[in-house]
Amino acid sequence: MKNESLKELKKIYNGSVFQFVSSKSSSKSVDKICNATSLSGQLTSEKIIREVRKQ
Amino acid sequence: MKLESNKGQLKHLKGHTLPKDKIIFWDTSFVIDVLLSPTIDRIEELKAKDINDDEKKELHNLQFTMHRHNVAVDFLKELIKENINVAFSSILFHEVYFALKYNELDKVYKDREITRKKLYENPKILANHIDNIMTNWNLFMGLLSKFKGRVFPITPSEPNIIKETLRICSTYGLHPSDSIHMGTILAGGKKDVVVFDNVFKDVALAEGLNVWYKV
Repeated sequence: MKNESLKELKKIYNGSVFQFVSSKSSSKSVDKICNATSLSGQLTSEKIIREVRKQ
Repeated sequence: MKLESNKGQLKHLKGHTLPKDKIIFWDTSFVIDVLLSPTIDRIEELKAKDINDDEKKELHNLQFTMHRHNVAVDFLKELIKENINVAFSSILFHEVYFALKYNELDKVYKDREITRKKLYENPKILANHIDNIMTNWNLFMGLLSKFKGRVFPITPSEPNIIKETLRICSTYGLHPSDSIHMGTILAGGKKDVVVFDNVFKDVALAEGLNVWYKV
């Protein structure tokens, strides 16, 4: 399937852009996927991303 | 860091039309808020009893993150429904990996500095968490699969991406990975980015981007 957006992005970013196709497809709904994850109350998600970027 | 100009637009996740070119960039902060949902059981448990100061802080963190998570998931569903194309710097994969790994370890060690120290002293502690981390990683892959090939990572290799990254880094003193995300968007001349992080948001607005932000 040709994607016009991919063509446009390739014009801008040349070979740096690629089309990602996930190796793990899911038949679950988005809500069910997201509710299966978990987070402790020690850090907020905002603090988590700040911590990641300190690495 | 003082940001004086504000040429961009702050677009809330409701009430604004999605980009006409159907391309929107993601910052990793959005993905983290989509993926990491607090357990509702713990929130209910804390609400049902007298809690000490530490538990009050924990409850506040959980409720705050739950709100962000719900808003992020709603917006993700809208992007899927509207067939929006998603682009991001490929370093997003690396950042999500770190976030998922430390999320699991933080549940045990409660404090990021302790987690880091424990992991440095004994890397084997990670082994017990691999299954949980992989469960979340596979969920992340499952979410991306919902876009049916409309996901476009961009490696930070083009000279104009690096040049913009260096300019952003030297202008605002942003961390390297924030700067790479921003440099990638600006090098392509694109305008729309989903951001759930205040530091990134302020710089994106100063650079004239349309920032899709939580309500």
